[in-house]
Amino acid sequence: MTQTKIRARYGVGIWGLAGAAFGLVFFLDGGAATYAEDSIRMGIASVIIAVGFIGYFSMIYLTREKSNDKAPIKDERDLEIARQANEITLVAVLGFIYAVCIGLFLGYETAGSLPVGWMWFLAYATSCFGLLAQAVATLATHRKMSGNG
Amino acid sequence: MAKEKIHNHIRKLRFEQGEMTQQELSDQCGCTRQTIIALEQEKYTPSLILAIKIAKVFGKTVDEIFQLLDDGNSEEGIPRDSG
Repeated sequence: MTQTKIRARYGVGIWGLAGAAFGLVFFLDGGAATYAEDSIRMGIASVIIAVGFIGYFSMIYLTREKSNDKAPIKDERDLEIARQANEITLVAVLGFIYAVCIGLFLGYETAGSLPVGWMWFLAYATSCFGLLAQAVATLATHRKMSGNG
Repeated sequence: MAKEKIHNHIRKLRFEQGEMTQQELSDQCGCTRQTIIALEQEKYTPSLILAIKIAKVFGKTVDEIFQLLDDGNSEEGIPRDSG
């Protein structure tokens, strides 16, 4: 298995879990309306995202190319997979931000203002979604460009 | 625009070269074994650099190993002569 595929698999796991855990903390107990005033939930969410990033960068470090590797663990095909996956991710992230913003607009149009907690949601959820989308797009592109699935 | 595809004879050439393994070929070309698998199954089109490296390993020219096919499967995209 190449480095690209290994990292994408771990990426799906890490950001899938972090995203789900953040969603749970954010939407439980009042959702956006109470989130910005609830320091415990804000603290837990920050820890979840921080653990996600620490886990992600640790995984990147642990799966790096080592000098004693017998054969290359990535090559030009992996770079092409990454390039195509990044193109897909960009569109997915733009779509996600658009969907969240329009959803909030429609939801709070008549109220005229919205809870500030949604800004935290947008910030954290975009990070989780972007990195998860990149991992999923990498696996899908890898599958398309692989002889053995 | 016609869909173009690269056909190759890597698998055949490997067996002609004393049943060379995919790993041996990938080691000599400096790529991963997965890329050789993808090339043999025509799921990936190599860069010119990799194509030249593969040709060198087999002692052939690039166009002896890789052929450009169009929709109608005619070689190099040139329509077959009707006359």
